[in-house]
Amino acid sequence: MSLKGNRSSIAGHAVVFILLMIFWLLLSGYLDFFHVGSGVLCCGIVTLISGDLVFTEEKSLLRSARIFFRFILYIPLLLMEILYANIDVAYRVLHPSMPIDPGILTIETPFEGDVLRTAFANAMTLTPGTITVDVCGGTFTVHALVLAGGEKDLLETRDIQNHLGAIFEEGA
Amino acid sequence: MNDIFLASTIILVITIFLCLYRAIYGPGVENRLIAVNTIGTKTIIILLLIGLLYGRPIFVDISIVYAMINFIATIAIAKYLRRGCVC
Amino acid sequence: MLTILAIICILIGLFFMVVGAVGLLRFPDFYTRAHASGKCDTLGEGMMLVGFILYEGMTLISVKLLLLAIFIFISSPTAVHALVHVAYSRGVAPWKKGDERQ
Repeated sequence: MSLKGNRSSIAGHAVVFILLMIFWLLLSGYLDFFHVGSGVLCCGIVTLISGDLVFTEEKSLLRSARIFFRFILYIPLLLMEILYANIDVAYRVLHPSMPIDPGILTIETPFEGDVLRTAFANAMTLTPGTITVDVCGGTFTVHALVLAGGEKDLLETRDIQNHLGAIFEEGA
Repeated sequence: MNDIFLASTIILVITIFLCLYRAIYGPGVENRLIAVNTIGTKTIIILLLIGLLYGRPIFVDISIVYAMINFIATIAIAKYLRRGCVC
Repeated sequence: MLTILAIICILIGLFFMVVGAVGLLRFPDFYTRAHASGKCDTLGEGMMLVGFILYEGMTLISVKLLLLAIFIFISSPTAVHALVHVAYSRGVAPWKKGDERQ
């Protein structure tokens, strides 16, 4: 709720307001005075109350935009890995003897930022045979579908970790 | 094309009944919750298919709202089970 | 041409959603069921939405469907993670090979 006065905070609020306004215009589809006016009112109230939720970290807007575009370039690679992992799970579901051997592992990462940790946890839930159980600091507890012979999955996890660390400019 | 939409809707309804077994007989509250979450995601697709079948674009908005409600309900129930209150 | 591509995408998505439901029935404990639900349902929904976008073409509805797909790809793993985290903190024991199914 606090509008701190410094310049980066006001810029962050402005970016949040513009994003909300684009979202409103896309969802409403009308461009007359009543709809746009009520959109400005609603987006203004939401920005005042919770505009500081999105840009919490001490990063410049330029750096955030750079990270965003690099992440968009990474998405096709991630989609291919998601497709591969889904075919693997579908094979294990439909095989008559169900070749699974589940267990719980821990993965150590040096990641600091909240957005980076969230992206890594989501990517790990979607891609190799693992789902994220717990995140405590930089330590991720994961549940793996196949423990024995799961080195390939761990290699893929390392791969994703290196990619995301390079995208978010943190040590991997 | 309409035949494919209709067949997809019927198959999805059958899979919802499969999930309903887990939601009724599943041991413990966690199994029931994940079955209900899965039913919710299938319902979003069924709403979109109905909208395409009958040519009503308003169903897209309804399914967006349903996706948000499904997500928030799952998070709220998880928080309630963890702490005993939604706060 | 686009219609054929849309039909292929819809059928692939339908296959993954059916596999998710079958995995929810067949797998032996909660965590493995979360694997089936979290992965297969997310990709199945995404593929079906891509099929609808190809079928609709460039309209406002396609933009809304794209927004829905992005929202689902962020929110669905988060919801599954919340449920798994609750089960882990409540002490649901994971299934090991050779145990009875729960």
